[in-house]
Amino acid sequence: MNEQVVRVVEIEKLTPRIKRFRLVSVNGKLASFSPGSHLAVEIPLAKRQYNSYSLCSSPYQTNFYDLAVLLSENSRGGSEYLHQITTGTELKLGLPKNSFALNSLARKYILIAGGIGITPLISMLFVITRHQIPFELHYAAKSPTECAFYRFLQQYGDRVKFYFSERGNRLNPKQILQEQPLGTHVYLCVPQSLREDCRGAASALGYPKSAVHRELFGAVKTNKFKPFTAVLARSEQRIDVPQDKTLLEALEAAGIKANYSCRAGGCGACEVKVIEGEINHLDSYYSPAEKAEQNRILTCISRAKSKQLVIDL
Amino acid sequence: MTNSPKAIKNFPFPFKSDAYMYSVNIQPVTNEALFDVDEHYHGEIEERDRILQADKSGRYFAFPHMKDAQWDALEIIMNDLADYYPESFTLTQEGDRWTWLNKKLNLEDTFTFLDETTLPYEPFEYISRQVQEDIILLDQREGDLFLDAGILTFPASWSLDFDAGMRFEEFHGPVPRAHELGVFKKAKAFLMRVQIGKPWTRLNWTMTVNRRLDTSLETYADWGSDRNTVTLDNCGEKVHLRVEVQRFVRLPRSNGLMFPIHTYLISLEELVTNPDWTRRLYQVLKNLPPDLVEYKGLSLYHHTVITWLSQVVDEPELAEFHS
Repeated sequence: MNEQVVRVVEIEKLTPRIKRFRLVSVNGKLASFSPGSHLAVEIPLAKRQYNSYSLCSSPYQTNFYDLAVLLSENSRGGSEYLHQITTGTELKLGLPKNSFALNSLARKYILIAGGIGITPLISMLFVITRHQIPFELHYAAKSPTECAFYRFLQQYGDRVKFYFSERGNRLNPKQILQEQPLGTHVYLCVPQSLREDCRGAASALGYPKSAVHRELFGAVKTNKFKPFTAVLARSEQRIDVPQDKTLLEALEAAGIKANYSCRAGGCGACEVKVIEGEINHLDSYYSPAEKAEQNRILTCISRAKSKQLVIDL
Repeated sequence: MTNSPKAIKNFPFPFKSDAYMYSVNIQPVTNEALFDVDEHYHGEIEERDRILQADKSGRYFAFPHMKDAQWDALEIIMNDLADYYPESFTLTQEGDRWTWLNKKLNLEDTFTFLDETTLPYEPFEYISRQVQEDIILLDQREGDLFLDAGILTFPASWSLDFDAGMRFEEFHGPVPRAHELGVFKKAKAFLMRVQIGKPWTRLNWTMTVNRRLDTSLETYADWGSDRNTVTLDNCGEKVHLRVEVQRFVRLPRSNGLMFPIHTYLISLEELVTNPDWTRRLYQVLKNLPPDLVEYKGLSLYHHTVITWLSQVVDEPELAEFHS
């Protein structure tokens, strides 16, 4: 994943535990992104890992990215690493992905943030205000000093409401969501209990499911796959598939002629019949019912749950 | 307008086997231009302009919520053309002040990025008037894709006006068999996951009588009856294989999708200069199921083309060539 190389040019402490990093490209242009996007940051520790962070700069800003990182208590080391780097540090990033996109036809946006959950909503504000669509931002934090972007958000006046738990202010989902115009879309980036309260309130008030959005971080590939053996039924050849190779790659390495097209589990071109063994479907091609049949596999992405798979090749 | 030997050599012949069936048949695009500028550039740009001047309604539209998508499309197209055809196109960016130079059309404009008042047309129309591709912009929302902007002067028998605002499976409504096969559900799921900077491509095909790009439903009266005119004598000259090279590109700022379609026409006379293509096309047309013959609009001359091809295929010197 060396898709983008950036240099840290500015670090700002937004709260005692949240730092904002401004990143510029080292190797050309930064990829543009849509509001609500996140991207993977490579953490170059002994055991390399990728952490996902939401972009919190303006999507119309082409020269830099901003990321805000919370120093996590149960960190795998990623946020600790980022909190000790200095300006001038180079980082490797993936390309932006979005699983929390703004609905372009919304009449009004209600954004609800808890703590560090504010970050994807910041990038949304730049777009919502450019298009002059009504919005409300409801932001729960511990206290003003623990509230990232507190000063930045003052420019939006009474469209932003803060709820500081230290002062006993609680966010009331029903109160916020009731009496809103038809076509309102709700964006939730809050802890799970509050998220369930908000979804419950929205549902009770008659919001369509498709109008209530919550941030789902795209799984950054861990490559923690198990090795397995593919047995080719026709030739009885046994092919070992190591954890860092796909079945398709292992077949190709063994000189077997295998069909493929997208190599991303989306098109179905590499489908092979499975005669025996349990399949771990990782594709986006089959329906849940087709996956349950356990008789076909996309070799480019899916793997075995069992130690071996007998396939019709 | 005919094809040069070079254009014939580069023709995107679509058949990989003797029996054609639907599949998503999608491939990544790597180190290759998304937009093709070929020897028909001037002719097709003039044709597009003529069609838009005659009646723009039904040929071009962009819904108001597609503003960011329009700028995305302009940015991607300008960068693509400038990167792959630097002798003809230059993009100079100084902050938000951009200067676009199109030497082929002798055109130079300086404008402010994201400020549409500084361009002579809205951004999507401005740039799409300078490429040969028809282009559809899809908005992604509610777990679906919506046809919310487009320019369509060279369609293979469909209407942009009719499909405007439709969902993905709605605008693919007329395609036989594919719905039952679940092709569109799978294609849609795939497209919704297309990533920034990782475009995809696929081919589609049909046939057209006479070298005519604008086979829209709006102009059906002008070309529909041409399909009655095919004879064994004029078949090689009149009947064309029509191939669409389609691309799927994520629009980064709007999270929409851009779907450019470049249409290539090759007459059978030109096509049979390649004996492999001749044999393959002959087999595909012989094996084509009747509902697909009908859907692709070939019913009136399908049989004539097969007879004509059988005569070419059976020529002994070609058989020898392949022995």
